[in-house]
Amino acid sequence: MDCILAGAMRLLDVLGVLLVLGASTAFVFGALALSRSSDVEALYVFVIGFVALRAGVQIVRPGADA
Amino acid sequence: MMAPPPKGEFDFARIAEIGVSAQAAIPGLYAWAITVAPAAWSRTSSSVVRVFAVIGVVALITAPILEVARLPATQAPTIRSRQSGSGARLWSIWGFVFSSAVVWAFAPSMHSLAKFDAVRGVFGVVGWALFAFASAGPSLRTSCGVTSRVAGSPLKPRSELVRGDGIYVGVGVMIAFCMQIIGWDVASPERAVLVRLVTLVSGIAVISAMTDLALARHIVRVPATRRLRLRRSLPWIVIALLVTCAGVALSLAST
Repeated sequence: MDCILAGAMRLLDVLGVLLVLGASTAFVFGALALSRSSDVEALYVFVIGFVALRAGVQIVRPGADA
Repeated sequence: MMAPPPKGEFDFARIAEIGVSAQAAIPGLYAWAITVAPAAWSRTSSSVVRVFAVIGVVALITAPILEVARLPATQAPTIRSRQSGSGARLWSIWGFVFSSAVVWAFAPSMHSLAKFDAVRGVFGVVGWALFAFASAGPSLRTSCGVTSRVAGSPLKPRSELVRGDGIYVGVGVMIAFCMQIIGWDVASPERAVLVRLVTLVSGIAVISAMTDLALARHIVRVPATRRLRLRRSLPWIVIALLVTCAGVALSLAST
């Protein structure tokens, strides 16, 4: 049981890292769009980035409310 | 005292032994070479600007000499008081900063954003940040043969930290630096400032998230209940759905 739990937590860690890396990529694309004066595209990508970043941090939080 | 370095190897710790101004001189010279020298030695710069650029280097080089010269001959360098180097520190910081400011103010090549090289700009920011850090921090000199500042046997940590935190933070910092390469060729100054601001905030957010991920590995985690998981994830699912719908609607409207 402990082994399964540890594996699941490790999987969540990896998922969290992937989400944050995805968010970073979205921020880069957003900044590029902003420098091209494509404001709507930039806003859209930034929202995706923010959601992914938030999800990446929330997913590794412990079960009990801190 | 420290053991001499092996023959043929340069011991950087000996520079830190001199004091704060010596350890700040290396990043200072790097920042000068990246940001001040190209401006001062451009074709359109005058000789007065070049003189001020040289003053910056002189300030960096002479500050450690001043710091050593102000020492009483009887004192070993490692037990010097911090106040003894304050004049040298002031000369190192303000001599260099003032001369650089004069160079940037009067060098014509610095007034055009179009000529600004993005990569050099990023390296310059790193150089100046390192100079500020080295100047503001205490000297990294080691004490004479002292390995521990607490009497008795070395203290043992209560728990061993999981390895890899540095990698998390390092990746976050690297992403934040990569973001700073974007947007240096924007023609409009207002948009250029907006891009800089946005990339800075994004970089800070990424570093903060990576730090959270690294710290979460040290916490003993228990699986969340189904209700708690739903309560946490529902707002983000709604936002993701809204964003997806908005994207689809916008793409349909544009076609």
